[in-house]
Amino acid sequence: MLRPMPHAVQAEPAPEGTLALRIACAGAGRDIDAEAALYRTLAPRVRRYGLRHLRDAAAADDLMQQVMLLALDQLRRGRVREPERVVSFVFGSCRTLVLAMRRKESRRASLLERHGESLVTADCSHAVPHDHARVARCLDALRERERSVLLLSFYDEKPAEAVAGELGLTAGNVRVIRHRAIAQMRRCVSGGPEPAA
Amino acid sequence: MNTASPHFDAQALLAYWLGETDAAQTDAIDLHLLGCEPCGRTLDELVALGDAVRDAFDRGLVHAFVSASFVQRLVDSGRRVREYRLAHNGSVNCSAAPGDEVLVARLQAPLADVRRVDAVVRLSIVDAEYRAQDIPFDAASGEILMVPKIAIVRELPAHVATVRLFAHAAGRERLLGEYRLNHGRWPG
Repeated sequence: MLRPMPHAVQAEPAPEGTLALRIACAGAGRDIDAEAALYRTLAPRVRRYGLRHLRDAAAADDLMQQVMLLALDQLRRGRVREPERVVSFVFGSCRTLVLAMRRKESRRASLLERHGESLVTADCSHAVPHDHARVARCLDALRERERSVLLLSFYDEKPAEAVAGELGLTAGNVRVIRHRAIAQMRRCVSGGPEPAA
Repeated sequence: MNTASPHFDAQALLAYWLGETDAAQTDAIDLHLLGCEPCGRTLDELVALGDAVRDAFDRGLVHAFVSASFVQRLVDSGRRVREYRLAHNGSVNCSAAPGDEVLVARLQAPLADVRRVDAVVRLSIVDAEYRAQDIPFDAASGEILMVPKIAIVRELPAHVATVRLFAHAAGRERLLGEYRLNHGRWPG
């Protein structure tokens, strides 16, 4: 499953580690530039972590803010033992906070179940960066099994095992079909030649 | 740390995103992604592609053969799904109401021991037919679920859609069933 790329880049000082060291060394003096640069570098990655583990954009935003505030605060106070390994520190914070947020979410869900009908919902949909008409044409160009597998995989974010059980395929089949379909879709939606009508 | 660890390809990142990795693999990719911008961008691209597929389906622009569980999840999530069940070789009068979001034709067919099925769709208003080759199906369910593009169907004049299912075995093709969907525009 985990397939490293053949040409991994070898060790060199990670920029986030260098920035973290600068923040830790500045202490109370504050290296504002380094703090801003570290935030710009790590915050989107923490948000991505949040999306994967919380499956909710607003919760991922919360996680990003909490983790980054914590990391910057701990670096300034000299409480990160190895600032050059700030990514590991952030990883640990992400895990801890996601667990805490899940516990809180569980309580929130329970409250919603009891009182949810009285709430007004807001539209929190996010813009999709792809041209939907082009995506639809690209989907048309897939084989039937590829389109079905892609739809079932992506619509509910289902693993291969689950999709396979629903479509009378094996999980291995689903992975192969999915891989082929995604490669074709990536070429098609990102400006490759449009499929013939 | 981040640059010394190997990068992950799109397949591994998608498996991670869809929850197919075990706890140790997930931890490894989590940690890697916190330190690796190129892998993060690849994952973002895959997630955006998934969003785009979902969006296209939600707009009624995707034609697909799906599972009964998928349709049930649509219903459970509050989508307005209009289903038409057709007995083996049956026909039905059908339409798409203004509020409908998904149309489903459930075609009952003798699928036991069938390995491959093609569906040939012909509309009475078009002098051509479309052959969907090797469609996915769950033989045990005894039905094939077809979701047409509701955004297109809604705009069509009254017509008859004929669907013929063919089973393939040992290089031969045999008719499994023929179905008629008599489509009319929603009144008003």
